[in-house]
Amino acid sequence: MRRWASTLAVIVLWQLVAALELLPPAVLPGPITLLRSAAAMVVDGSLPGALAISLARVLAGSAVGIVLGLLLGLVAGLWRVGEDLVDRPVQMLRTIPFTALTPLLILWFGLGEAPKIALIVIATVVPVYLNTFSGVRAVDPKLVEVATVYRLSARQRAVLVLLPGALAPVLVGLRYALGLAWIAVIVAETVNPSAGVGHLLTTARTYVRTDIMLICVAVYAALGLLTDTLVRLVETRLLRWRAPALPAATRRM
Amino acid sequence: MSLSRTTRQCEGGVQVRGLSKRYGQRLVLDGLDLDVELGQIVALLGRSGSGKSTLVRILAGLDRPDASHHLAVGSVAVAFQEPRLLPWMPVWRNVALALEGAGAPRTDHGPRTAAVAMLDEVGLADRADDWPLALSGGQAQRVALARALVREPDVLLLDEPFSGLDALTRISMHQLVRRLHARHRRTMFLVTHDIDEAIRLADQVLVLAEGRIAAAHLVRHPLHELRRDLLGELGVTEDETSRTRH
Ligand SMILES: Nc1ncnc2c1ncn2[C@@H]1O[C@H](COP(=O)(O)OP(=O)(O)O)[C@@H](O)[C@H]1O
Ligand SMILES: [Mg+2]
Repeated sequence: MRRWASTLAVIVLWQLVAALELLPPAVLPGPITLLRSAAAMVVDGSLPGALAISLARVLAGSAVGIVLGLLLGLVAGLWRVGEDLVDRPVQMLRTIPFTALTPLLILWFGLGEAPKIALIVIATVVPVYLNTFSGVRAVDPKLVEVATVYRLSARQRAVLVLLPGALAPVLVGLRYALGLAWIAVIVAETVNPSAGVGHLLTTARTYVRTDIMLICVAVYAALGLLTDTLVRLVETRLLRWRAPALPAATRRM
Repeated sequence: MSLSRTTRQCEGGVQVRGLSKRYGQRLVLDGLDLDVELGQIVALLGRSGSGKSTLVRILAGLDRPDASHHLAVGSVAVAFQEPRLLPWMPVWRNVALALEGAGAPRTDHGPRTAAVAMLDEVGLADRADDWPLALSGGQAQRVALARALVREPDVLLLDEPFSGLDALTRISMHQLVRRLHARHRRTMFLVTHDIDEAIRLADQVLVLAEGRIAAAHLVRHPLHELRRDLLGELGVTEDETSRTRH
């Protein structure tokens, strides 16, 4: 409760500023106005609709980007030839701020879904690749030798030893990737608006609907937080072997 | 130079002729000959850095020799100094891993049944669903033994598997190895630097020095004489022995 006191104070202060009209509502509407607008947007369906579209884009783009990043990271991590082929191009891609690619992607892919998805793919593939690659390379070679002794196939080695061994860094990459996916979708939807939360945001700017703009920002924040929490949940589930509960009575042998 | 890894040629044992391995300037194995007979426990003694692990790694197919006239090894499984369990798999899956790769034996009732049965033999059936990190060092090493045995290898290579364990745990591991050997009759090649461990477990004790098998003893004649001979062959002087006996 104490931890929320300051937040609460800010909200109360904010409402006070709005009620006394110390700032014009077009600059900063109060929290009660925001809640009312948000409720209206939910009722008329504009907010859930936009949300669903943005979410679908993030899911599609990051699914492709994550799978691609995993595969490329495995290829580069497993084989020297793979590293020679894959690493340099991805490292170059890494140095480009992906937002700068937006106009190019529109030029190449037109104005539909394709350039938006492509931007999300590019944003997510890099962190997943980097963490998978270094994660695979960092798997204890002594464990990899076990796979050799028992003559596991390349696929078994990847699935049973290398990927699980690289899982912790891969999940870190995944968290970065999903964070970037939301940034990518915002950029894509505001530069090239056609439905989605970003479209809502740009339309609101045209009509100086500060309340809607603030709601969109809050929605983005909430979605970012939500995906982060989801990955953390997945992480604790998948990495639970790292801190196993010791048996109550630890026997000698 | 022939690099054959077939069971037929040596009928499940180990036969090596003229094996050499060099690391940089250092010739670690220098034309080594080795025979391990089927069903026996052969202990290999050698001072630290004498090339014991190098030999095991070559027999296990983890390293390539620089030269060898003849190298015939049956199917192998290895227990290393560290248990090397995959921490992200429950204990039984670690054992069942040995049933996955090429050359793994068929199981009648599925991998889990086979794994748990073998865990039972090392006294850990009740830990089948635990994570490896929840095990003590000795328990983890016993799981590693179960993993190696469930593979039903012609030759079980053991590279100082007990040296990281405390003295009491080591003694019960010795008893376990004897019991498992009596039951499965697997050929075992046990690398150790512990003379007493070698004498206690092996049918035959070899000494690795200067990159070759410098001496071979059947564990028969009076043990204190064997012990003294082995000490001498390992290059441990009377002075060193008395110093280590406080
Ligand atoms: N991968 C390697 N690279 C370079 N030198 C090595 C390597 N492996 C072992 N050696 C050297 O070979 C010698 C024998 O090592 P090893 O077989 O591990 O000895 P032991 O197991 O008998 O203690 C040592 O001098 C060691 O430093
Ligand atoms: Mg060694």
